[in-house]
Amino acid sequence: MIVACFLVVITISYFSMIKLTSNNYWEKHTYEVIIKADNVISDLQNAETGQRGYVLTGQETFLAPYTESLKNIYTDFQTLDTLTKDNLVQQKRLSEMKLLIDKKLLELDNVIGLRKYKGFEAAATVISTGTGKETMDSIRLIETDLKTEESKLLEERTRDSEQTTSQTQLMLLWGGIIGFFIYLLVNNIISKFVIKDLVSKPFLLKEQEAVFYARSLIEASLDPLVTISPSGKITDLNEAAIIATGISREKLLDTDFINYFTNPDEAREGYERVFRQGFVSDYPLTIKSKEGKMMDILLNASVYKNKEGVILGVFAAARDYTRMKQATEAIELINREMEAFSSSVSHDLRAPLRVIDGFAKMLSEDYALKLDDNGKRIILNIQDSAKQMKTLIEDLLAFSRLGGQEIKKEFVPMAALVKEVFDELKHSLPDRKIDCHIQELIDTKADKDTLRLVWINLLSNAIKYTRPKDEALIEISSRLDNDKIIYSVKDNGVGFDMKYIDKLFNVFQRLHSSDEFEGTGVGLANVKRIIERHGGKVWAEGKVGEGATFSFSLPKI
Amino acid sequence: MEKINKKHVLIVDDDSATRILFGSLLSRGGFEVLYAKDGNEGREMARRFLPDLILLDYNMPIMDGLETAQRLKTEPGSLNVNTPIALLTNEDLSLEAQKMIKELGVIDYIQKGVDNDEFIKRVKNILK
Repeated sequence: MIVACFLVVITISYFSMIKLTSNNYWEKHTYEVIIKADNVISDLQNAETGQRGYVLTGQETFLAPYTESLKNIYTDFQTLDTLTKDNLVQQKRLSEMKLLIDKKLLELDNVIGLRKYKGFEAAATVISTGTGKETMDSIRLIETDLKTEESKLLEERTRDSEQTTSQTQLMLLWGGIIGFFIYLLVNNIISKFVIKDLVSKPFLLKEQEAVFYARSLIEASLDPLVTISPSGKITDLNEAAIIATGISREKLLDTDFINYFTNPDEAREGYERVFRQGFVSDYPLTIKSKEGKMMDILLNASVYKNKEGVILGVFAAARDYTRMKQATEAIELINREMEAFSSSVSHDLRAPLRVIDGFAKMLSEDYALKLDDNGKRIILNIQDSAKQMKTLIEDLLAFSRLGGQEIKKEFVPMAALVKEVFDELKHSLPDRKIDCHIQELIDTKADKDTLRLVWINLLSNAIKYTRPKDEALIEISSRLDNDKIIYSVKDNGVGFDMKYIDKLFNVFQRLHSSDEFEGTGVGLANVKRIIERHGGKVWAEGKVGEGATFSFSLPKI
Repeated sequence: MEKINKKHVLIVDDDSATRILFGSLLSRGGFEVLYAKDGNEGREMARRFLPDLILLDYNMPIMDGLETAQRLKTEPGSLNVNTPIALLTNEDLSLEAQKMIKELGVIDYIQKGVDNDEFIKRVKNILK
């Protein structure tokens, strides 16, 4: 029974709706006709404005709006004609209007021609006859009639439409009430089917968004990016890859990835390694573009998988480091030159220094009786300075040698080495009272000779800077920190101000005067160099008057 | 008479200050000293004066100490084949270089950096 009522109501509603829809259509139609008619007029005005501009100035730029308007006039007129196909009266008006438009355009064109070939005067004369204005006025009259007719039609249609609307509203109310009951009846059944559909739709949209998002990310990268299939073919790429290779997207797709490198075998090894171990990082390769331009790159790549975990391919990013490589090479060259320079200077300084020292000594020995105390002191000063300079040169030579020396790693029993070094140093200072605690130290692999130099420097520093103390205390310890071993030398000496920490490990930088504590300022620079060449770091902590702790790290064996 | 008994030492070094220093030390130590400023002059002096010891600077331009030693020891007609030769070096020689000079018949090398007294001691040791 309810269903029957509902059917009646929706049938009536349906027909009302059809009528309403058709009324709505006609309302829209009327407005369209009015707008298009206005458009035709404004197109004509624009054309005329352009023409006048050209006549006045003679500049071709004014013809641009003119030509533009010409195109629009005919399209707009065509639409107007189609819109009023059903209305004979309006069609008649339009054909009259068409004739006048043609006439008007001919006039405009004529004047432009005159201006171009005969000049301003000729064109202005034609304009001043007023024929152009007459034609325009006639077109406007027809347009007004056209619009009035359409407005009249619209009024009738609106009235009709209002009636139909209220009828429809009533029916819809009934339909709604009955529909509600039906809704309650079938609620359960419907909900089961509908929910699924509702859920999947927004998902689809999100997926599309994700695709766009991913694409934008890929294209935003200045590094060439490609995806590679398990058979080594390029399956996708970005704009940067096109620029790097100089080859179009179409020609790159589905070709062998390895083709675009100076060394294809290495490139193959690179992506195959990704498939084997899941990724590569900073794998060096050189891209060769179509024009022969080289780009040194570091390949960073990883596999990508589907939901089931099956590897679909490799996603590879190529970081251009051409400039960085060049800069590094330049710096290395400068470093080598600097070292060669300092080494040869040091060598050349040695000979004259030896002569100064040798003669000073001869003088003090052979002429001791002839020299007074002042003379003897002067010779002593010469000898002291010569000695100091000799140490400096030896340190500098050691420093420059360290730069080029190969590191040969071998097992080093650390505690034994430290003890040996300390005993040697202490041997020459029998008067000093030094309490040295060498804890159990973690052994490592390192270049023994240079590592000995590290300990010599650190321990002799500790001994030197504890000199003012009656009882010097030096503590040597080690500890593990992840994959590193950290060794420390702690003393209770004069310490240093942490604000000079940056200077501490630089060559020739000293925090104390030579009179206070002798030294060349090369020792800690050597320590830093040796440790860094071993892949470690050096650092220090200290406080004036409260001692210092020097630490360095080495990789764990 | 004493002069005749004095041993003759030839110093070949391109650096005049070094030549004079070592020369002074040697004459102070009781030796007769001969000087030459390069390898060729050294060979000429050696041929003419037949010194008891030749001290050759290791680093010399044109003809270095090794080449000079080699020519003195091996050239046909050389009068100094049996003369002891020692090289004056700036630093410790590598084992390879030590082996090479031994093969040439150079009996020793003396680092220029050694102390005055040590230098004379080394020379006397060679001539013992």
